[in-house]
Amino acid sequence: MKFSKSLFGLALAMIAGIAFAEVQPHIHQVLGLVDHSTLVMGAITSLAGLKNLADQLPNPPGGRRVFAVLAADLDDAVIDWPRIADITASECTVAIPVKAGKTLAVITPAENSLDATFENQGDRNYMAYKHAIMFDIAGLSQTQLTEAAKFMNAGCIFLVEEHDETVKIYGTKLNPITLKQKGQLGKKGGDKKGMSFSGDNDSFMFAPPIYKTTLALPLPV
Amino acid sequence: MVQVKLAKAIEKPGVLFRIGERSVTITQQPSPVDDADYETIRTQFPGWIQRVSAKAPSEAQEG
Repeated sequence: MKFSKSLFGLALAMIAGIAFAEVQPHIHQVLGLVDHSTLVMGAITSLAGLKNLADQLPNPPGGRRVFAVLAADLDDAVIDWPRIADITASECTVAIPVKAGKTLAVITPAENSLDATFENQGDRNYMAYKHAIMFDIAGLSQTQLTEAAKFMNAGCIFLVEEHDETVKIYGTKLNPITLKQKGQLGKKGGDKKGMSFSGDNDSFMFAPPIYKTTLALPLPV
Repeated sequence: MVQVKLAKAIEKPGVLFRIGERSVTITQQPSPVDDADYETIRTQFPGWIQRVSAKAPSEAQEG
């Protein structure tokens, strides 16, 4: 009797488990919840092998320009950008939702000074991504100082144009990067008179995604 | 090619749209833009640009 009761209980638990697995995606759909595991990886995806770039292909480091926009200059109707749902295979497929008439600022850093990084942070089961950007600007002129002041306490999204023509997005609307700046006069000939900018933010769901080449970017003329 | 200019709401002399490694400049004055680029900008940045209907051939001759 005891045995049949526990058998019945086991069967009931199995049926409940199967039923929950069937119903769960619908619950997510109905409640508008996002199942991140399926969005990021399609449940658990097996490893396929991680290889170096193929032989005979160039692998140029560094970047050419940075396109910057204040998070406040993005369309109010868009809550966040880019979102995990905007990214397919590490590529952002949704154009930057800037407010009508707002263009991205073009930053041309001093030669060999632009760098952008990302990393995983946290212990296992607590990991997330961190994005960081850094560059120098040569000079300390009135125009440069006036422009630099606009970055004070202002969250930004940066699109970095790499030497291989790829553009990657650092920061998001709801999790923007705020630059810190440091200016130096230099003591003698050969010293660098100018400004250094750096900023980072963490708790991102993804590494900096690629801005798809078919998407337009509005820049000033 | 279609004639395109910036919409009235865009209070800028011009905007340069970078599309991959190409760029398309659209100003307050009508200028010819490739059909595909026009569609790309129109769909991704609604309300930024407007198509200008070309003059009829007879009108153009008179003008």
